[in-house]
Amino acid sequence: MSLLDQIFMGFNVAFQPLNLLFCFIGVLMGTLVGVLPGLGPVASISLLLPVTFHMDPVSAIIMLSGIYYGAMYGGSTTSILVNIPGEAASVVTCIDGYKMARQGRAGPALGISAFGSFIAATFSTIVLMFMAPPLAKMALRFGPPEYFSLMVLGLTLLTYLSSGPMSKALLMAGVGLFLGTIGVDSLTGTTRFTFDIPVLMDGVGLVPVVMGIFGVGEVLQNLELAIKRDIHVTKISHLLPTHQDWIQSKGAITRGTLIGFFLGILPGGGAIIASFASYAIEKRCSKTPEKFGTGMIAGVAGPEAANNSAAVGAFIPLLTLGIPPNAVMAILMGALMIHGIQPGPMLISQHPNLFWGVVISMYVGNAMLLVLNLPLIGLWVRVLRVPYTILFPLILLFCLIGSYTMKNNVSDIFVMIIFGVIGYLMRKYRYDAPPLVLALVLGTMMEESLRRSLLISGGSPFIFFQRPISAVIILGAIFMLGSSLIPGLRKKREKIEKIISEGEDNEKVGKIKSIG
Amino acid sequence: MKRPGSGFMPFFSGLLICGFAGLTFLYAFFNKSNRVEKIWATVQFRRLIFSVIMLVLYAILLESIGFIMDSFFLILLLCRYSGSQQWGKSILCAALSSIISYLLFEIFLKAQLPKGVLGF
Repeated sequence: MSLLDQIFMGFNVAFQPLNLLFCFIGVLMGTLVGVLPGLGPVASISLLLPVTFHMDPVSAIIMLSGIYYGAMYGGSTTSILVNIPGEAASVVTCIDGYKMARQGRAGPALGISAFGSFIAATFSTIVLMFMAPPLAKMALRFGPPEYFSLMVLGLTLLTYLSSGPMSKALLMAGVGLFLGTIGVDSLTGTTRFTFDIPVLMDGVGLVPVVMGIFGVGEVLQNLELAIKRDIHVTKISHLLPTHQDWIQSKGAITRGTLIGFFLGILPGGGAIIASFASYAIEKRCSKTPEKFGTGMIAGVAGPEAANNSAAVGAFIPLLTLGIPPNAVMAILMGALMIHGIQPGPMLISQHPNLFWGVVISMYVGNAMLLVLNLPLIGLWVRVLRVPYTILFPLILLFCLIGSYTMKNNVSDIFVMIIFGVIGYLMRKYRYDAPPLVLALVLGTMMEESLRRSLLISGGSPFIFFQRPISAVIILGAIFMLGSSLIPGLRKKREKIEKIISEGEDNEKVGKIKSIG
Repeated sequence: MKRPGSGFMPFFSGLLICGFAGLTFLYAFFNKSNRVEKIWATVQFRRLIFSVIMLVLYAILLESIGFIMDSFFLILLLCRYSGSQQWGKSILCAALSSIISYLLFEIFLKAQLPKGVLGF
């Protein structure tokens, strides 16, 4: 089948009425989640996962991916209007976006972020379309050592970019790997750490763990405080950016798109780091860097383009290599596996309707987002006023239903509650959850490829350095680990961490606005 | 190493956990800033513990009293006692959310939610 035929097939799938509906529901939910502080894309995708269990896999993935890129759009709205980032990838948008809103230029800020996001996402979707098939073909030549090295790189990058000391993030990755070993060993059939408890025979499920850590854990953390926050909404006029605005932001959008895309592909990268990188580069490229932070439109356009571009780019490693580059993709991978689809190099050839349908739905979804976002901004701001006291019981109910309907087993609910309490304690003591989730998802694959590699080499760990592709990747990971010890780089990392944690604190104040 | 068995990965991840837990401990031990965060000072334990107990009770009672009743009481009590909403609002919220989620999951998505002794 030629590329054109495949694209045509994708259109056929994406434009089926039911898929259009699910795409719409996905982007709508995504925008809602992006707007509501306190519910990130990871939590909401895991919340909606149970809804997709009984759906056609193509519709399910179309909807879940819609939530992810939809959240990137929605997050910017609240950053600009009320200085509360709806999710972490929009933290930098607050800096110049909110200043623009205070100067009465909320309209152009919202407009440019919506258009910038649309341009970036469309570009990345086109590149994804052309890049994924040849990459998947190349990945067919990967053996167990290459896969193992890639997964090590992914985990290392994620821990490198996580907040707090790296030893804590690596510790979490270790815990995730360990949790992944619970259950029946796929190579020998021996049971491990099951203690004759039936629910542990199949291993610790991804859904109860994710719902516990991200859903219940988050709710528990929000419940402990009682702060009231008033929201001052700026009046919005002239959503369309002027000619001058376009001139000032076209470079930022182009650079943001490219940076975002490449950081999105990198395992462990993703939308958050892409938005920060783009802001830093815009500041460096600008002739007036001192004006950044006072309401520069380039400081809004660049990061917003970058986070949307990264959200699309992140699909490449998942769909071609079967390796999720971040926690959201890890959950999507879980969703694919629940439907009996193994993500990896064979996905495009075995399930072309899924791959092309999802890719084409991204165009459709992004167009829907542009239409949804601009006229409905007033509605989104009103959504911000829904009291958390009504929202949190519903989030908990969804978590409960989700972990139950997975296998119709009450024991999974207990697993979820246990991980909810663990997730809450992790937040209190500042242990990052994404490395744990990624390690749990990758655990089985990583173990298999490590053991297979060692069987091939007769026990020599040097096999990872003897094969060229594997060597480059694993050296990259080692370099990454080593560089975290270099004082200069470490300071830079701590600086970024500080900005992110300040942004998150800001977010927290917003999300607990109406408790008590 | 030549024939890695099923204990290989647990051992390996156990080593990782021990190593990094040790490092984290040393990091905290030698941290000269002397900054001790009082992370438990502002916590409202009553609300937290109540919510967790409600979740556990929900799981225990789910199969005996059925999804609708169980969810109704969960949302009602959480809204009322953890969320400090008024009775009227809590009852409305509980009724609406349990019925809507039942319709969504049981009728529309054909998931099999427990019926309980009352038959619904």
